[in-house]
Amino acid sequence: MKIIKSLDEHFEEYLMGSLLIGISCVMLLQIFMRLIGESLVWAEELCRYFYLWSVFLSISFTIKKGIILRVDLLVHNLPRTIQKIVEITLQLINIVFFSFMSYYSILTVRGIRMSTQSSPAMEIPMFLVYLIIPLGFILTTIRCAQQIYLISTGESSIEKEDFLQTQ
Amino acid sequence: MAGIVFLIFGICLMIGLPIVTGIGIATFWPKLMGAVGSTSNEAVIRALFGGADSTPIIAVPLFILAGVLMARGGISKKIFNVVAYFIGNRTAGMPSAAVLTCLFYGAISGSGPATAAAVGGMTLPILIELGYDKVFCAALIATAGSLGVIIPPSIPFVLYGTSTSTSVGNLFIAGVLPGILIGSVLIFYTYYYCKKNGEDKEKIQKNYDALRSLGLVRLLKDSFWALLSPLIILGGIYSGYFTPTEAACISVFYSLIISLFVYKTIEFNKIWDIVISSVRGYAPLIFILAIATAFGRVLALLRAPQMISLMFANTFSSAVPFLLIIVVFFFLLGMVMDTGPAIVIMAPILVPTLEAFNINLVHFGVIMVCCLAIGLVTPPFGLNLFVTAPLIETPVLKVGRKAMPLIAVYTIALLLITFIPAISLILL
Amino acid sequence: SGGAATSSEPTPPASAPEPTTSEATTPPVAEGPSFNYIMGHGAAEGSIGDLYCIKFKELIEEKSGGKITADVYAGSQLGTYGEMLQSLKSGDISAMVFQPAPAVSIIPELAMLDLPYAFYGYTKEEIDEVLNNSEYTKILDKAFKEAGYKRMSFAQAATFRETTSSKEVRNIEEFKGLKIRTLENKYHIAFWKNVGASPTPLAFGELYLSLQQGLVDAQENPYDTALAAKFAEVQKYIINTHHIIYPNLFLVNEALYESMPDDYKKMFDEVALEAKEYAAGLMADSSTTNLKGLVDAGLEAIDFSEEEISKLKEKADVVKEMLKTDLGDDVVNTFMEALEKSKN
Ligand code: NA
Ligand code: NA
Repeated sequence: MKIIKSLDEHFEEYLMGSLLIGISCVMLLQIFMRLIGESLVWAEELCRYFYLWSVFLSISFTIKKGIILRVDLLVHNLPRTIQKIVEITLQLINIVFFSFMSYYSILTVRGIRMSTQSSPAMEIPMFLVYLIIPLGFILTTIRCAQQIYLISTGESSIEKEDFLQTQ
Repeated sequence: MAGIVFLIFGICLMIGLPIVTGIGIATFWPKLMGAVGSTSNEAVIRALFGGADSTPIIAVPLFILAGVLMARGGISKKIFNVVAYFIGNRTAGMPSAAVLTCLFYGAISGSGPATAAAVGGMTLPILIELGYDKVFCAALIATAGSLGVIIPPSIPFVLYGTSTSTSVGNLFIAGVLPGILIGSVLIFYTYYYCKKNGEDKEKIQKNYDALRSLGLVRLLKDSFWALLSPLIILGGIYSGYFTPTEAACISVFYSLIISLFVYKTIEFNKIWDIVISSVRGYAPLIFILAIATAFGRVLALLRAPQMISLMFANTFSSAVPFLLIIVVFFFLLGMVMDTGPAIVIMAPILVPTLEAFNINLVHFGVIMVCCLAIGLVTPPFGLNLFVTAPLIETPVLKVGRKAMPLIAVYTIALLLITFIPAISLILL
Repeated sequence: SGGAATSSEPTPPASAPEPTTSEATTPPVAEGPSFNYIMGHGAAEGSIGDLYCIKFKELIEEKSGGKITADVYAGSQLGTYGEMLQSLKSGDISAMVFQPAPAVSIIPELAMLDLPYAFYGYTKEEIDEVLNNSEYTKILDKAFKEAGYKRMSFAQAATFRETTSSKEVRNIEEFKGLKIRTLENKYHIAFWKNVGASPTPLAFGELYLSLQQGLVDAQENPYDTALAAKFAEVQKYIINTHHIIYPNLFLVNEALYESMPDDYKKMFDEVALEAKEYAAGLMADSSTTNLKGLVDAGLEAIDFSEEEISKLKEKADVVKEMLKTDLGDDVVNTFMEALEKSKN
C-alpha cells in the first residue's frame, strides 16, 4: 500500500529525475571522451532519447502536480461550486484529447514496428524509442481521470501550485 | 483555415484549457474538418517526436538544473558583494550593483525568472534595509532579471535557434551588447530616480564600511569561483572546448562541484531534491515545445507562413514599418504568453517574411527575445513580477505599476536594438 | 517530349514552362483521375534538391495537362528526414528528394553508398548504371518496395563529399589526429578512425560554431553544403578527398504510384527521368562553380595525388568488411560486380 502511494505520488518524477541525471552524466562523458580524441558514437543519440522520453512523461507529471501551463484567469474568478464544475469539464476535454492521442500514437508505433527501422547510432529498434509516446499519453489520461476524482471528493485543491520559485 | 486554427487555439486558452491541449486541438482541427492539404493524425504524432528529437534543445533542462544549483549554492551573493565593494557608496550605488549583478549573473544563468529570483532573493532585503523603496527595488530587479535571457547563455535563444535553424552560438554573441545596453539604461534611470528621491547616506556609508572592512583580497578569494563561472561557461564555448549545449552541462557540474566542495552550501543528500526542483521547472515547458513543432508542420501544409509573408509584403513596402508593427505585436504577446511557447510558435512562421524583407535572422532573434523578455515584467502575466512581488509581500500589480517607467526606458533601448542592427551583429 | 526516355544526355536547363493552365499543350490524358503529389525535401529554397522537385512539378503538370499536380515544400517544413521517411511510407507525403544517408536505418542495403572510394574514378554514366540499372538496383528496389516506397531515381554527377579543414592536410599522414566532424554513421566513423583522424559526430546546427572555435578542425560535405553553410569563413583549406558519392534520391509512395493508371505511370517515369537528368546537369555545373565559390571565399584547394588517394582507398577496406558482416556477402558482391560491369 505504501509503495503504491509512493508510486502514485512520485512515479513520473522518479523517471524524469533519473533521465535528467542520465543526460548530464552521458553528456559530461562525451565531452571528456572528445577532449581525449575518442568521441562516442552513441552518446548524443542517447541524450536525445533521454530528453525525448522525459518530454512525453512531462504532461502527466504537470497534471499530477497541478503545474501545467494554462490561462486560468476566467476560471479563477468564478464562484467556488461553478469553478468545480468547470474544472471537471476541462478535465473531461483533456481525457477525450489524450485518449485520442493515445489511440493514434499506438497506431503510429505499430506502423514503425512494421518498418523495422532502427536508430542510426545505437541501432536499437525505433519502435522501442517511440513506445514512450503511447505510454506517456495513457498515463496522462489516467492522471486526468484521477484529477476528476480528487476534485469531486475535494481532496485536490483547485488552486495552482506556484512553480515559479523553482525555475 | 489557418485563421480558424489560430481562433480555435485562442478559444481553448480563454476557457482555461492547458496550452498543450489548446495547441493539440488546433493542430488536429484541419484533419477533423477534412481540410485540403491536412495531414494524418499519425503524422502529427511523428511530428511530436521530431519536435522533441533535437540536440540543442537539451540545453533547456540543463540550464534550469544549473540555475537551481547556483541559486541553492548562493553564487549570486558572492558576485553582488564584489560589485558592491566597488560602487556601494556612490549615488544609486547599491541598486545599480543589483542591476550589475543581474547582468553578471545573466552570463551564467539561462533564464529570466531564475535571475530575478536569485538576485532578488539576496539583494532585496539589503536594499530595503538601506532605506530604498521596496516596491521600486522589486520592480527594478524584475526588469533587470530579463537580462538573464538576453545576456548569453539563454534558453529563449536556444529555442529560437532550434526552431529557425539559426546558429545558437551566433545568437549568444549577438545578445551581449544589447544586454549591456539595456543594463546601462536601467542604471541611468536608477541614478535619476535616486537623485530625485534621495538616499539614506548614513546607512549606506555604514554598510559600505562593513563591506570594505572585509578587505578586497579576502572578498575576491571568497568570490573567486563564482566570478570564474562566466569565464568557464562562455569562455569554454568561444575557445572551442564545448558546444553551447555542452556548456549547459559543464555549468551544471561546475556549480555542483563548487557548491559541494568549495562553498559547502549544498549537501550530498540534497542533490535529488535539487534535481526534482529542476524537473518541476522545465516540465511545464518541454511538451509545449514538441507540440508547437507539430502545429508548425500543420501550418506549413496549410501554407500559413507563405500567406502571412505575402500579407506583410503587400502591406509594407520596407522592413522599418514591418519591424515596428512586429515589435508592438511581440510586446503585446509577451504580456499574455510565456517567452518559450511564443518563440517556438511564432518564429518559424515568420521566417519567410524575414527573408522577403531581407532581415538578418540573428538580429531578428535578438529583437524577438528582447521584446518577449520585457513581457516578463508586464502585467498581467509577468513571470519576474510573480517572482519578486512575493519577496516583498506586495501585490503583483502594485510592483507592475512601479515598473512602468523602467519598461519605458527599456523600450527606448529596444527600439535602438531594433533599428540599429549593428548593436547585435557587430561582434559576429 | 518524353520519347528519348532512355537517353543519358543531360537535358539542358530549359526555360521553365508555366505550369498547369497552358492552353497550348494538348493534355495527353484528357479524361481520367487526378493526382496530387506532396513533395518534400530538407534543402533550402533554390538548392539543387529544390530545383529538382520544382522541375519535376513543372514537367508533370505540363505533360499531364494538370491531371497530376505537385506541391513542393522546401526546407524541413514537413519534418526531419526520419519523420519525412515515415510520412512518405504512410502516404502523408507523396514524394521526397534527399541524400540517402538517413534512409539506411530503413533500407540497410543503401549503406553500400557509404563505402568510401567505391565510385572513385568512375564516370557519371558508369555510376548511373550501378545505381539506376544494375543487379544492385534490383536488390534496392525490392527492399524499397517491401518498405512501401517506389524508387524513381538516383541523380548524381560523379561528384563527392569533400573535406574542409583549418589544418593543412596534403597526404594521408597529415590526417593523423585531425578532429573531423562526421555524420552519426558508423561506416563513416570507422573509415576516418582507420585513416588516423579523430571523427567527432556533431549536430549540423552546431557545426559552424564548432569549426569557428576549433572544437573540431574539419568537416566533410558536398561543395554546395559547405558553401551554403559559409564554412569558408571558418576554414582554411578545401581538400578534394572525393571520398563518398553525393547523389540525390527521388522516392515516391509505392501505393500512390501503383494506384495510377498505366499510361500515367509511363508518363510519370519519363518525367522523373527528365527531371533526374536536369538535376544531374545542375549537380555537375554546381560542383565546378561551388568549388570556385569556396576558393573565391578564401579557401586554398588541395588535390590529392593518385598515390595518396589509393592509400585512402585501402583504409576503406575496414568498411567493406563491416558491410559484409551487416548485409551479407551477397549484397556486397553484387554491388562490386555491378561496379565492375559498368566499366564495360
Ligand atoms: Na543568460
Ligand atoms: Na507579461
